[in-house]
Amino acid sequence: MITQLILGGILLGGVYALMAIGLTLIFGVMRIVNFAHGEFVMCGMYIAFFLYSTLQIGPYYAILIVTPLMFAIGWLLNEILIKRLIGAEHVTQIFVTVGLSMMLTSGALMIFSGNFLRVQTPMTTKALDIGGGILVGLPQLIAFVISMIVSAFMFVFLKRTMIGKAIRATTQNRMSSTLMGVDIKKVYAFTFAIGTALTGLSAALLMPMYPVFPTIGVNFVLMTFVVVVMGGLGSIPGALLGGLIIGVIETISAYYIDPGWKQAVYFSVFILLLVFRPQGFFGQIGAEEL
Amino acid sequence: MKNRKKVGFVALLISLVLLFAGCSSDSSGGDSKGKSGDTIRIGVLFPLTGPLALLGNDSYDAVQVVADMVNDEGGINGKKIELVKADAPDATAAANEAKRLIVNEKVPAILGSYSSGISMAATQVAERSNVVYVEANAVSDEITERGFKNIIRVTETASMMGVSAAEFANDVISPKLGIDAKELKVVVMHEESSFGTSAAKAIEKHADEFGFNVLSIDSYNSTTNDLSSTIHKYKELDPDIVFAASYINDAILFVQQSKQLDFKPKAIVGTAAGYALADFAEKLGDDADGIFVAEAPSLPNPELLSEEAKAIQDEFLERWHEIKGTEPTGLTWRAVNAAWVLFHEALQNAESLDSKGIKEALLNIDIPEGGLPNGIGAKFNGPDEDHAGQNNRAKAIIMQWQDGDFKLVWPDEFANTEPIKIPLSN
Amino acid sequence: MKNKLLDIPKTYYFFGILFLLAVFVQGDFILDIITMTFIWAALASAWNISGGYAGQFSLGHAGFLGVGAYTSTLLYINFEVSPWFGMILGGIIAALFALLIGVLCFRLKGPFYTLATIAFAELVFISSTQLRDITNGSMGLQIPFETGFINFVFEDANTYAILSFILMFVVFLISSYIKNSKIGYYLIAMREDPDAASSLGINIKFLKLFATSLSAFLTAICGTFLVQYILFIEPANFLMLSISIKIAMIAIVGGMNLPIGPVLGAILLTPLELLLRGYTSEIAGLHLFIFGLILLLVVLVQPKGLAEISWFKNKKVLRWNGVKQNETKRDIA
Repeated sequence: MITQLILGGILLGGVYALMAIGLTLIFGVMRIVNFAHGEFVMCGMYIAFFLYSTLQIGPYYAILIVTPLMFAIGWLLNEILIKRLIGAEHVTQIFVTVGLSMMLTSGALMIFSGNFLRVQTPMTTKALDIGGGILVGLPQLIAFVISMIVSAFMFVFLKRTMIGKAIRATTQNRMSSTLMGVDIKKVYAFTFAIGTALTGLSAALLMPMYPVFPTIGVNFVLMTFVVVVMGGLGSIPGALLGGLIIGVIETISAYYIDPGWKQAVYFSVFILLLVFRPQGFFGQIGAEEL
Repeated sequence: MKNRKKVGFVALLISLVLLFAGCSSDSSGGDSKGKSGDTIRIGVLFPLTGPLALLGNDSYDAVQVVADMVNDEGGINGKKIELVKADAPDATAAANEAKRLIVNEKVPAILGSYSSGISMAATQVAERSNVVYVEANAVSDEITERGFKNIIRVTETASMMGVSAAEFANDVISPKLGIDAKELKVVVMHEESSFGTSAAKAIEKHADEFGFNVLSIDSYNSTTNDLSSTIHKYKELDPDIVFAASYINDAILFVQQSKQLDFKPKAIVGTAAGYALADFAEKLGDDADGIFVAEAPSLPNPELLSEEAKAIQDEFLERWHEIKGTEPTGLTWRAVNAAWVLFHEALQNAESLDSKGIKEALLNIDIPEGGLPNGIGAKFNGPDEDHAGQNNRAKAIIMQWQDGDFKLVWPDEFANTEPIKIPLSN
Repeated sequence: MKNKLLDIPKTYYFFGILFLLAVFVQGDFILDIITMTFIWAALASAWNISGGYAGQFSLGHAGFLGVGAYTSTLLYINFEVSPWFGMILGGIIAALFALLIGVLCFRLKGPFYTLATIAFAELVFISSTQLRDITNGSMGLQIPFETGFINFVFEDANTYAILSFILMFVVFLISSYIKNSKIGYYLIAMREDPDAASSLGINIKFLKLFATSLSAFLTAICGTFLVQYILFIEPANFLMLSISIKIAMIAIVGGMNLPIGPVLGAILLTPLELLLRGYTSEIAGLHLFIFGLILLLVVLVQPKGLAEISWFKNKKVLRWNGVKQNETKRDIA
């Protein structure tokens, strides 16, 4: 049983990790905590849903459309709004994205009403038996594999490409990077756009598993923050590890304690982290102090 | 200092303007409307926004259709029924809106509320103002257990659903499975809001009375995206029957994940809400087949219905199909009953069209079983009796999804088909 | 630096008008708007003590609200303790919670502190839903309508309006007092430059704990007022994140630096919400959308809040940067 739970948790965590990577990049580079991150996932899911219901494009193919689309939306959002938050007072940084999240949630309610919209694929209820009676859900497995591939890709991207290095430099020290000739504004725009694109990707991966509805963002945003803090701000391996761990914590606590309390468990973990090890696994000490 | 003076005055002006705007909009409205004039205005309060919006709107629309039906027949002695809409997404809003309906809109009666929390808050406001409140579909027992004299509940209570579910398990499922009641292993899962909790409590109580072995009671948040841990737990416990009080999202999630994880209980009995919606069967297709639901009746055995009830049923169906294109569910019929009872039966026969008159008319109603379009009757407990205002002819019966259709299978007088697929699995 | 509390005639006129509204306006619905407005004004003012003054942007104040309301309600329903006493006890418990949060989260800055407060409030929310035997979970608790001063239940809507006026006014006075006292200046110093402040001997830790505990205490008291008005409590209408956001939003939009700011914010936003919800129910979600937009615009364009919109441009801003010494002292309301 415990193997089953751990495995289930790891698969669940793979997708959390993908969402968290976007958030951790945005945070690491721009030092902005994006409270609307969950709503970005929601937007991606609505787009994926409509691609399926009107154009019959399956969610896994839709990835190719949703991801670049969300990239563009992220870029645009940065131009209009987010770049004004750099260096702004805390109250502005926090509450602009809070206001944005309110607008997105209620906007979705106004346009789509409260319905739970599902993508019905034959895959939704399939599972593989990998021996010993342990079952692995098929959409969960696909989501996990793709998440891992993309995470690896992001890691390499940051390490090897020029843009990636520019991003990492900015994360470590904004001032020095500027002095070294990094175009900070481009880095910000690019990072925010990538973070948003990754939410689009996770949204498409989630569609075969979950329905989309206006308040689904709330479920995701708090949890993603826990993952990001656990992994360390700005660290992709951290986000990955954090995501997997949170997934496992979720499945194990839901089983042994009570599904109603499972959120309480990871909120408690979150508080303990913030208190005792705010830099998480791989973050830089002091990063959480902005 | 000048700045502050200006700011202060501007703020004051704005607030006064708003207050008096609110004031004037109702006083101009209130005087010319009400009982004099050619309309009768009834407040209708449901969650039209927020998490319960989907079914709140469904209820509201059903009430509107019934109002149209009565109006098309000539209304109430020539007067048309006009609905005053109120949106109450949560309990605080419910209290505010009930006040608005009573004080500003001056309605003599309110019909609501779908959610028990909303009902509890709104009915208290109504009780204090001596305005009669007709409860259409909130099922928590507490609503009619506070000794209030102004509540009339048309629908069945959570207790009645619990009794039905347990009785059905005892009378039908247990023998068909060949397992004695005392050996029967059951689990109860419920979403954690007031609906799920009150239904689960009722099920547990009556399951205990029949001697079932209640192995586990699990609560969860209805918007959860993962029930796998609960399902794994159930696989270990191996229950014969799963009782579930869920909304649509979690109901579908449970059935889908159970299939994926190969969990096959011998029977699933849901209580109303999610399991009873057309969407449920539509999304699950074959996977919904065989699932039982304790619900208010819907399309019962036609022999049960009186001529008049049949006529109401047919006309409502026709209008509903035209507007919505879907089948009404037990939830819809609850709203229909309440609206019919209030509009057609009470208002027609009220001595005076104020709260007192309407309430008296409601208490005088005596419709035998089979008289309302979904098969139940109506007779409300008096204000001094236990469960004051509760319809003691309300009933919860058992429906079953059979091949995409929602059929009434128990008890026999209501049933139009036999229950199938006991046990569930193939 | 004396407390120039009594030097503000104009503000008192303003409050005088509000008081008269509470006493003389008739009509339950208007009084409903007035009472709710006053309660939200008190809540926002209480939040502002830790949020605006101390720079601790909490989005977890619904937790304190709920603690206060549940404490007094449970004591009243189970042990017949008058809500007036229950209220004080609830306030103390909330203050203790705030101390705990403060001690644990002392080092967290900005959004991290906010996230921590959200986590705490969610824990309270989940606990109140799950501990069914105590709180009746999401089925909620109803306070019986038995009127009487000791029961803190009243027949007359004007009584509620007057009581909530008193609540609002008292919290306002406390907020004013702090603002203009030594503590107020220490708080500003701490917010503007914590390192400089502590090097001058200001005890940052004590200040933060003091501000958040006081804020929590007052918020919990408002919780009791609110539940005694609505007479029904369930986790969903007291403890959700959206309520924390609303409290913060009222203070921010109104103006965080002035004690009168949150009051103005409440006067603007509460009736707006009630009326929008009542009359635009055709389009589900519209009022939330508008509120989100208002919050976003205000915080982006004028983070100090509407109370400081000045037709004389920068004078106010200069004042609050402490440039002009004498004028700072006169800024009370």
